[in-house]
Amino acid sequence: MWYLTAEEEAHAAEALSSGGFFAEWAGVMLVLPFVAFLLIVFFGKRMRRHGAEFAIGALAVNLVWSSVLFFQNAVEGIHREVSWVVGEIGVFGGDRLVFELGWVVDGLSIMMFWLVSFVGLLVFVYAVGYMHGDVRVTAFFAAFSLFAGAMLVLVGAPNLVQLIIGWEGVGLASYLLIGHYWEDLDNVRAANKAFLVNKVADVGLILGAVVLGFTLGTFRFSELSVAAFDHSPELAGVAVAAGLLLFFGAMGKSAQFPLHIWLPDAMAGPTPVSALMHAATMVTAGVYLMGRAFPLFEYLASDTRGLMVAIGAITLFAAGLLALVQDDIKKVLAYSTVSQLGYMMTAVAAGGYTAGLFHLFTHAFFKALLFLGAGAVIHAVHSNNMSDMGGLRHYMPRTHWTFVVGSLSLAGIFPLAGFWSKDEILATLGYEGYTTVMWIGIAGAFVTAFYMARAVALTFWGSYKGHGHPHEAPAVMTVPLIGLAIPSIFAGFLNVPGVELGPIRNFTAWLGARVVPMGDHHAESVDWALAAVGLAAALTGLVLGWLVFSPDADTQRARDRFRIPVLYPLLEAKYFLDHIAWAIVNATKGPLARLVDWTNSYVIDGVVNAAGFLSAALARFVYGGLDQRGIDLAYNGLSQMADAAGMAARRLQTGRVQQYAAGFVVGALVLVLMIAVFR
Amino acid sequence: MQIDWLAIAPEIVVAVTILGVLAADLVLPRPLKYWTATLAVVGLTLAVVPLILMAASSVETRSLFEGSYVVDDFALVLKGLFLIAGYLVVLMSVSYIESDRYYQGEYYLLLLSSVLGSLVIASARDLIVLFIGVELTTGPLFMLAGWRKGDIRSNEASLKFFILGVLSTAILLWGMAMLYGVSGEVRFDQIRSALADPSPAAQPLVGLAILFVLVGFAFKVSAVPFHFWAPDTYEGAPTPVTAYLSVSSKAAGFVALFVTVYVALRDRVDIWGPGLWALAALSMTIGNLAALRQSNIVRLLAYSSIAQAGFMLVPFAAASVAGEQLAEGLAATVVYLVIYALMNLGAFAVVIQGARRTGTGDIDGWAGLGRIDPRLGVLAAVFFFSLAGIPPLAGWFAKFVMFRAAIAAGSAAATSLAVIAAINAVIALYYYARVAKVVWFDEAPAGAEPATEPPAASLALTLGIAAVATVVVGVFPAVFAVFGEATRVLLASG
Repeated sequence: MWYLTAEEEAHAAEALSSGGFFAEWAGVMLVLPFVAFLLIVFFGKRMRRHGAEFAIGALAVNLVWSSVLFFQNAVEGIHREVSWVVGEIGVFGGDRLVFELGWVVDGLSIMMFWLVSFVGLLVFVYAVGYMHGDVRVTAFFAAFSLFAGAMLVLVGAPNLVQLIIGWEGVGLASYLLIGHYWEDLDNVRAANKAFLVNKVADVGLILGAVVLGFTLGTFRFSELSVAAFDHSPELAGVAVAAGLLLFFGAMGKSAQFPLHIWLPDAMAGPTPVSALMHAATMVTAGVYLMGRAFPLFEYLASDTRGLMVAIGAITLFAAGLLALVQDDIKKVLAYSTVSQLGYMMTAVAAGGYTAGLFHLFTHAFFKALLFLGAGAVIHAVHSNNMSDMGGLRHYMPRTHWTFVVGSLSLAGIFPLAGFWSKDEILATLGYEGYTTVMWIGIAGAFVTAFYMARAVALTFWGSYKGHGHPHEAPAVMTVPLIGLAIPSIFAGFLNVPGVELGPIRNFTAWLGARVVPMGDHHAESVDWALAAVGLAAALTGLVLGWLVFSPDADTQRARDRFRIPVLYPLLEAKYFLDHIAWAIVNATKGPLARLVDWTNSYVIDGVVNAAGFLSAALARFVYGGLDQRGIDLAYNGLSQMADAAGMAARRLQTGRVQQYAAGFVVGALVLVLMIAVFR
Repeated sequence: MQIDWLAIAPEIVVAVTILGVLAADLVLPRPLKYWTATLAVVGLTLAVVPLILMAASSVETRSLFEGSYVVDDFALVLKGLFLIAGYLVVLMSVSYIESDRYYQGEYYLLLLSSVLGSLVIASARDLIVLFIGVELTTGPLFMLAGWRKGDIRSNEASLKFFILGVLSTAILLWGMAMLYGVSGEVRFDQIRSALADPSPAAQPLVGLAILFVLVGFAFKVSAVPFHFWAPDTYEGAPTPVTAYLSVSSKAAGFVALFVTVYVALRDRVDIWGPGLWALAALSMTIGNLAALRQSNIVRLLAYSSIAQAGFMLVPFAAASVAGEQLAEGLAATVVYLVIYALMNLGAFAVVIQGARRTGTGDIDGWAGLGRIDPRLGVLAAVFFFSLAGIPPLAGWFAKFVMFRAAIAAGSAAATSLAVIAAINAVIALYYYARVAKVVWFDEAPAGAEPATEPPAASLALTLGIAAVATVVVGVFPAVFAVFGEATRVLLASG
């Protein structure tokens, strides 16, 4: 076990508690979902609920455990690290580089533990209803448990190596879950796309880990943070490169433009998977990584900020526009997630550690709520398309009510959770001097409100356009909706600038329990002018969206076909990103590419073919010529004597043995001659 | 004379087992003949016990019969290998032999005799004892190769093996006689001191004697150009016998080579070193290239085993040519030998079961075997990829120590041998992977049904032991590296 050294302890922003029993043994939370996974694999089929019991049980224990930690951290702040050395390698210069596993318990990881457990538990319960009667329920819950477990390993990682293990585990589990309905080739393709796009980004993460590990001699985040805080000269030399590599890794998992293309396709998985993936696990991993490595960006790699903010801003606006034109309700939500991740990434990149992660926190509630609501709707009408829905508020009142809460929260309407977190991001951008980006963010708020108004209007208002009679979802599905609606309303009050909630203080203080101070700016009070502008943008979007899409059912679809020249086709084609990829492939027909092609066909293929031909010819020669008949050539005389002596039939047998024997003797003689001559 | 009974206990146990099998074969009625196999298995298992006792005891070296017979760590490791290989071959044989309706008792009698011979080789430190050991190892195999008397190809296999075997024995004996002639001694340590300072007139004779001995052993390890017998004999002999030939008999040849050149002829490395270099380079290259064009699985393994013998000679030859790191080279070759024995026995067990499933020894006839019998398909992939040296299977470690030793030796000749070995390792991958490709990717013939009946229990046990060892050693190679280290004792004296 490993503890902070006294020197490192001295860096801690304030005296932090070591957390006692629950922090010391926090690793239990990391292991439980894997235990559940094994239990499901071995016994799941025999259980009444096909193994969901184990998955839910594990997360329920985790929720209790992380709630205790959450409360402890809220009151006094916790920092605790436990690591085991599992292996070590020598690196240049004789140093040893150790690989460790363990867990870190501090403000950031406790928030994530709790979020994954809470949202995960509600989604698991919901999935019991949603997946009822599915063909592979057991496999589904096994992979689901794996998903949550890998995410916990990731967020509990005290070092980059364990983080990568969790990171890849999340990637694997998401691959299994996206491809859950593998009978349909499109779903398999979606799973492959998600996996491959993530792999591209993972190269950045792994290279970043290598650069940092070899520079610092350790993979630990705590030592990385301390080195960054102390402006260590070795680290300063590689900080920008390492920062950009880590950011590139984060871009993949957190779906930043242009690596976001996998996320909408990932909707192919069952809806609870989308809910969990978009709320607490998977896509938050990139933002989490940025938060975990925040001291590197804050103290040393601030040169990377411009680029990162730009990418975040493009993501938040471009993806928001895409959500406007989707017919598939899950795709509306998917592009909305990409857009919100853009907000988070922009905030963290601009130096708003608390702002970005607070939005991650609130977003998890209302996005999970919206996905589960969408799942309930899809379950009822058996279609993903909003053109098959409409008027569902009469059939599914509870789903409708909670969906509206989630939409308002996402749109940033006062005083719901989304309002506070989005306002904090805008305030941070303003404070850090990214005024243009702040206005993009405000425009994004308008777009967000607009597409959510459209989604609510098309789904729940007007008249029903689908087939059959939709019914309200069972209680096992609506209770989680209500469970998520409550924090979607109230979570924002946890971090109103300048307000402390008695002994449990506020979100900023919770998240600040790290090994070094994060150094981000915290406003003293709410900037009401900015809040009013943001709210006005959201309300305008809401009202406009409502006016366009809510009126009578007959014109609804007509209005949905309302096309703005240039912009609409651009959005319809998803900014032609797929076409651009194809264009790159097709560019191989250009003159330069023709040269490459020519080289490939004639030079490289020629060499390969020639090598293959030569090997084959040589092999034929050796086997046919030397091995089987070569002795004939050298000892024709000998075998002719044998031929003459023996009958034709016997020649095949005894002749060959004689040849062998001749070869044997000649081999010995050649050996003797060789040694005699060359010695 | 004081005799250390524990030192020769393994040989005694095997000899008693041979007599027991002979007696049992006489008295047992035909339906109960399978007891001879059980007896052989029990005997080979019991013979391991004294080996363990000796390994655990504090006595480093047990020297018997005035130094003609020595049991040290080197001998213990290799005796262990011979016993385990013999054990696996007996297990492999049980169902194969039973299905043939020949005399089972004789089979195990001959097999055990050959095992006894190889045990003697590992301890022999004297020309006469060594010669007896070598002949006791090979003699029974002439008969075993022709064991299926009704099969003309088995007869052919036996006859070719016999004729060339006798020729090689003649050359070996000639070389030994010349060695005795120039030195006047039969014990290795005395030959060594006698050869240290020979008269100038005897110099050519010494060179000739050493090379003739080398040729005699090169036949046993089927090194090119003394390999001609191997493909024909392997193809015609019963498959378990082929497995034995390619593993135990080959290993016995290597051990005889080690004790002779390292103990008796160590100072004349200038003569046998280049000879080994040539044998290694030729065996790898010719063996691999010929294997590329084989369509019969057993012939493929025959050429593969010739090429593998070349690989095994690499560290040994590289160290000898460079005149450095002799112990390193020996350890690497022994590790390679042990790993090769396990994976090659596994491969032959797969061949036996595969031939039974598909009814053919043609590689193309194995198309789709992975779908007909997935477990067998996986095992085929494991052993053939291991032979190719793909991690994490044991073969990679064998190749790794081989290259490490060859490069550590350092001279230009040693490095060039490593380069030849590297090229050959790539060529070999092609034909090993082809087997896996045919088994897994080619379409099964129409009408083939998934296999239902499991393999015979004894064969399944062989497959299991070999597969577990192959995987475990690949993942934890340190398990076997100690065996290589232990054998360095052979070079420790003087």
